[in-house]
Amino acid sequence: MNGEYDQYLSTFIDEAQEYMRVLNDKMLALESEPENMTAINEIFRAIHTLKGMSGTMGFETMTKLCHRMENVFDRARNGEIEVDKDMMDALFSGVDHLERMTQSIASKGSDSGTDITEILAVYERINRGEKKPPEKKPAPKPPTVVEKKASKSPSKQPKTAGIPAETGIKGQRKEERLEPVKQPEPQVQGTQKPDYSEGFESPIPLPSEIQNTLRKGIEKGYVPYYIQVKLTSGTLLKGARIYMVFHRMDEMNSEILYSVPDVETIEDERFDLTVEVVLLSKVPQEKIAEAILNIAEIETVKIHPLRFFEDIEPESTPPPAQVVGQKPIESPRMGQADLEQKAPPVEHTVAPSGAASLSKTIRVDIEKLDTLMNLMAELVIARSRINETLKKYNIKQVAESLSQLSRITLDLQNIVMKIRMVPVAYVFNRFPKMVSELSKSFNKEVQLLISGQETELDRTVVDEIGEPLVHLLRNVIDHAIETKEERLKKGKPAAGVARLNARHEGNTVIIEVIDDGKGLDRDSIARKAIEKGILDEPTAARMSDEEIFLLIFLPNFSTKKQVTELSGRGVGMDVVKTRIESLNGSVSLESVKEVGTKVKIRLPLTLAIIQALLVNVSENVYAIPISMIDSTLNLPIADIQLVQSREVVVIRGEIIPIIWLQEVFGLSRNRERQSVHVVITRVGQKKYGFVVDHLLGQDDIVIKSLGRLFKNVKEFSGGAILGDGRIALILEGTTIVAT
Amino acid sequence: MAEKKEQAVAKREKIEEILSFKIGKQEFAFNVDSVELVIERAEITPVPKSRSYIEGVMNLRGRIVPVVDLTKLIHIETEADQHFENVLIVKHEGAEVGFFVNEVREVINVKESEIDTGARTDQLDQKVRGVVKRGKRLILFMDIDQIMKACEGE
Repeated sequence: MNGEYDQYLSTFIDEAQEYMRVLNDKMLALESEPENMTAINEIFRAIHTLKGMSGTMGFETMTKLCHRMENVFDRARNGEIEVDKDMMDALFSGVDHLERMTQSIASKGSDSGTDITEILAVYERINRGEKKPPEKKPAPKPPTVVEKKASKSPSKQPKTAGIPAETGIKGQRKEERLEPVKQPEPQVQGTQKPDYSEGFESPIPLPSEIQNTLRKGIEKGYVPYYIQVKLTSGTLLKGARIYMVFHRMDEMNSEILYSVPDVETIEDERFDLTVEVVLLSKVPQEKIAEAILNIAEIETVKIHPLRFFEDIEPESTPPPAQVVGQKPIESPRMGQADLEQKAPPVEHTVAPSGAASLSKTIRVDIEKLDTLMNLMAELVIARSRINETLKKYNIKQVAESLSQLSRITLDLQNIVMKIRMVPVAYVFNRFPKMVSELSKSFNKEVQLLISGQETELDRTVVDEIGEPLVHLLRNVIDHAIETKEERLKKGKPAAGVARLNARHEGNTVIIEVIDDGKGLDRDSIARKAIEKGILDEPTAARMSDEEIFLLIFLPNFSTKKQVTELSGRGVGMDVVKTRIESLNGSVSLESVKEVGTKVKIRLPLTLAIIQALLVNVSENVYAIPISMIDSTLNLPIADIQLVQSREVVVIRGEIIPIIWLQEVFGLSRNRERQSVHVVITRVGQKKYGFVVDHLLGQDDIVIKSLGRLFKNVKEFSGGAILGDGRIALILEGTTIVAT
Repeated sequence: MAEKKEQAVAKREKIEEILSFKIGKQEFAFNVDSVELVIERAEITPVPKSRSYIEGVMNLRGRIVPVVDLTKLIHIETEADQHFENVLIVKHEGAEVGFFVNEVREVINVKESEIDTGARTDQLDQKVRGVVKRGKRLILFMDIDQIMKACEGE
């Protein structure tokens, strides 16, 4: 395979995933709100683009499936079939197939191997309208024909409405894609029945012979224009004015092919103020507009080139925005003639939202961002070095430039950080579907409520939290939420509620998974722990509820008696905890029996940069993340007491264990001092005092992994390169307090 | 491309380029492809609790790279009191590791038949691909796969 193809392929996969995300999203919206036309339009656009993309890449199975799905949506939005559960299930399953194909394309470079015959048969049935509801209108035609018609005429309709930006007075380009064309009703009567099945995208219907002339004109290098001329109200001699307009056009070697009203009517002055003209010309549209505007008593001139789409298969090429133009929401079953007038304004309202969500972003390989990040770090370090060197010489001019450089570097660093941020919606989006499927398979009713999905986190963090959250949600459905019968017996609503909340809190992001299920059972957890030999009975009795609950985060701890397919294999909660902690985050848990459980995950905004307190321990620098620091103090050695042969200090009545970092690191402690610096940290629910040699100050540090050679070293979560080029190891609280 | 070239060479005899370096009096070599660069020893930050052959980490152009004392890794005796001046940076499967060396010598073309695999000692069996003789010099040609695995403690 050549590189170019590979590059296209990876773009294709990225984009396909993006569109499937949109699909999923909007289909869920549609499922809860079957009348939501905006959603159906967006779905249609996404599936349509996906089809075009897969077609271009030559993935036939995928193209075929997209095509069939598109047909179903198409008929749904035309009101020919009803949006119901049966249909949505079939379509969700289609999206699943698409996802599988994309994965297969990503791994093997081919979409073959996915069997879609079954799903295609289901679509065919739906398209035939063969369903339970008795009021269902049967589809008028046999399946194959239906499919053709269904996809062709409606998708053509939007294009009729999609008019390129108009040139208004003095050639200004207008932002809106079109203005409702006021079509003088009476005059239409005189014209021929419009031939709309093929041809030009024109605000006025064009007879087929005009279409032919236009086509020939284009071959000769003419551009077809649509021009709307409006006279100032109160114009006398309207016919003459328009005659002057026509004359001016003639002078410019342009050919007037068609006008509404027709020439005879104009001469008789049987028209209001507006005349519409189709013109073939080689003169740029600005020139034409200018020439016409020079004529007295002309109020406005609107001109834009006509677009031609005969021969273009409706479902293959047009860019997504063009497909937007939609059937009128109010009356999906109206006839062609109505559409001509109603379609444009509708498109006007629908188009911007869809278009905006797809433009304005570019895709960047995360590796490139990592590289950028590294370069950024090097830049910061280089700057610090210059700073250090210059201190010796004290040159004022350089100092100024340098402080400017510092500011720029800081700004740049912030921008790079922001580029890496993505909303948690990236992971949250797949949960509604997962929850609805899981609850079905567990035969429970669970409602998922999501909030704060716009909260942004570093991309790497977002990638990593997906799996722990899946675990937590599975636990909620499998273990926490009771069956419908149980819930009703307890006087709870039949449907359980799982909440997924995200929000910022200072420099961290909080993600909570809350359920209103049965809550954790202190006794059964304690009993289990005793059985497993983790606790003895007296200890268990002394422990607080909170401490007992934390036991479920221990490896191989599962309270569910029967192991289910999805959760309860005893690898759940400890994996969640480890994963979150590897992201420098923390997990806590609250639970009230029969009321519910809240799992609270606290994550740093970004993996890459954290605020840390730098400290000295035996000549080396270490970093303690600010997020785990409670306070610092200078402690007289005499204040350290021994309780059960452990060193502690009592601060405001709180007993805090003292940990000498030197000893943790395998060095002997410095016993000569009268007082020591202690950093009070919070690890889990407890406080600990870390003894260090010196406090060096607070700094933003860029976290880097220490690499595979240090995978046995749990005391450090990574390293950071400091301004002077030295390396500071970052303390991992949980491991250090455990030693 | 690379495959074709290798096949063409194989018709004659496979030739490997190796980079030789000295630790104490012993001469070692790595396949030159896996060597990224040689730098002067910079400040090394010890990492408490890490394995004994890991000297610590160094800052290599903004990256944190572990530095390994090869003599401790493969348990060979060299003179006491080593003072290493250089660090040989090896890049293997995306991971960078620095090795302390006294002196980097030269790149040598070695035919496969010149690698004496019979001379492998028990202690080194896995990590050494063989011994290369160049006049009086005996060069231990290390297997970088095995060395990296050993570094990771496998």
